[in-house]
Amino acid sequence: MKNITILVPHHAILGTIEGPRFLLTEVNSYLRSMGREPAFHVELAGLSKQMSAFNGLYTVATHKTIHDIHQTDLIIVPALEGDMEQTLAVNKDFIPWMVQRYKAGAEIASLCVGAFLLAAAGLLKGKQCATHWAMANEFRRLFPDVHLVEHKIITDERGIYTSGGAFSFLNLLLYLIEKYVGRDVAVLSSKAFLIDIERRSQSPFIIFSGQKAHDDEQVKQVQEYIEQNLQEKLTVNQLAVQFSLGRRNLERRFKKATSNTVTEYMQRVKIEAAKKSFESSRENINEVMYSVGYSDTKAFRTVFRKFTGLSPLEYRNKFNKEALAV
Amino acid sequence: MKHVSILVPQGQASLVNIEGTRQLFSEVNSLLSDMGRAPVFSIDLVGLSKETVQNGGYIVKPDRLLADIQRTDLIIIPAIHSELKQAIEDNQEFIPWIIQQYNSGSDVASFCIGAFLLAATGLLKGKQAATHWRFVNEFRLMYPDVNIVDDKIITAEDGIYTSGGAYSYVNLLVYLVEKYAGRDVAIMISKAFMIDIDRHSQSPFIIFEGQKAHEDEVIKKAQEFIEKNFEEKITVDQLADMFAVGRRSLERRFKKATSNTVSEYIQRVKIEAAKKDLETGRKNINEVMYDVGYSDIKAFRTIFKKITGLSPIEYRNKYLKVLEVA
Repeated sequence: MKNITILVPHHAILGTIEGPRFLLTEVNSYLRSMGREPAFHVELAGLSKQMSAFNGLYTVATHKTIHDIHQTDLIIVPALEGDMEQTLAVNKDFIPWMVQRYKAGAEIASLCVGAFLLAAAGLLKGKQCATHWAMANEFRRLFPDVHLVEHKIITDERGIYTSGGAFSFLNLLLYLIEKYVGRDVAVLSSKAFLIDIERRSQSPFIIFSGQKAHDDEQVKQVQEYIEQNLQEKLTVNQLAVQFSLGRRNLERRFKKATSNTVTEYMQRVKIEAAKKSFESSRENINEVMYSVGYSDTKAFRTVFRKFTGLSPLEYRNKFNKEALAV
Repeated sequence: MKHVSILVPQGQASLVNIEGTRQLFSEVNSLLSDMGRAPVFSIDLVGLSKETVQNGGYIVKPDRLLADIQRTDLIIIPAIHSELKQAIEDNQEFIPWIIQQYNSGSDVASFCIGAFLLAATGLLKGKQAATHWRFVNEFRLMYPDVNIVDDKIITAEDGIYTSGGAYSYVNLLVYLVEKYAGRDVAIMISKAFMIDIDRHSQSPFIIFEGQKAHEDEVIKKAQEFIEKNFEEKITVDQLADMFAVGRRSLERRFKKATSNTVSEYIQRVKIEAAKKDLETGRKNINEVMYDVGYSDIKAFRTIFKKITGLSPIEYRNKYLKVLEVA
């Protein structure tokens, strides 16, 4: 039997506390109905015995405070809301306990932006980590020494698990059920909870919005120029000349400010525009391709798949209602 | 601006449904405000008392009491995990109010087994409804005049919406966002919450368990015979001879007791066995087919797809996945 401790931090997203509690408790009842022993003992633990969420809309009566827990096998860190630096500050008392339990052999899983608390504990240093794609820039800024993998919805490294954004935490839970109990029970749980067990990538959901939270004005101008001329075939040399910068200097500053190379940035801007067209317009794939400045179908498809995990056709079928109706 | 009443029923209501809806609709409002558009939802949790204690250790303090809501535009009925009849009894007070609101123009949506409370209002009479696939038999018994569709995860008819099991509620939420705020916002929300907007069928998740909650002993024996001999070719005539019942009488009684025809039942038992084989992945598709008593690949594929919504290969790709992360 595994002892599971679900943390109840301040500003927690309740669905990522109750979702795991309910799913893991249900697993026990499936096992019982198969004549097997329950696998999980699930407890909610906070800094105090009662935690209030959303200005008192909900009150969570925790089973224990973390200080009463001296042995646990898996700690689940739920998603958090609000300004991350402030939310981390009010939850800093969880950190020494998490570090201590991890050193004593407990595993830890963070859900969505729960990764921020895990990273703040220093436990992700040098490790792979997933989090909500919309918080990726913020995460990199606060934790530059963590290896953020934006496209993944599950990472697993030395007893530390992280999940991608929002409801992709369900895939991490299935992964943990499979690991602790077995594939058959994970499949059964996926069917009972209507979770697509084969989801592995966050890429189809990522919206690229550029990274402008930096102070390099010249790089910002280059970014804006790229965004306004996405139908053109731009080259790095051309941009360097236009903004009177050495090519290597431009590359270095661009990467530092945006965490993309110039070429990646141009690709991402073009692909994001193509995605928008696929979602809403009736243009065919070639028309969309030309409108974002590609003329080689093979190159377009390769780049499209690199950033979205899907082919242009698959993407259109996923998001375009009319394409779907046909 | 649409007023949304998220009901907080007595008993073990799904906090995942309640808080998930509140969070997602609130996020719609903030997305709209980022785009310089007006919010579309005004959201209240609506209860029968000022405080309800929910399973798992939560206290919910609804924003408003039912008696205080004169007019609403959308009513959300979450799943209630208490015993079904008890759940309806505990929440009788909601029923006349739901009917009255619907009659004055409000939409009504139920999630998962929340459909039982919705059906208790009589508003589903003659209409399509979805619910959790595990509860379809029970639903048919309790509400024979509702057209239950076990393959769908969303139904929409005359302002009444229902969703399939568990986390398929998020697909109905996205559907409602599209209706009230437009396709573009629905796509953005589906990306922010990592919801596969293109999910439409519950079929890939259904586990066929037969329907034995009836009193017709002869039919039960016929069902058991089918389940033990599904590898063989079984015909209706053969069963009629074996159990000394006229063929037409057998068909009629079988359908009445199980809500499947004899040949549908045989197909479902065979396909369920094939699914199990595909999940463990030790046999190739032809072997699986022969082992459940089919010899014509085309017929097997057609029936497999009819029942699961997927081809045998798609099904295998969905559920047969070896752990490969990090």
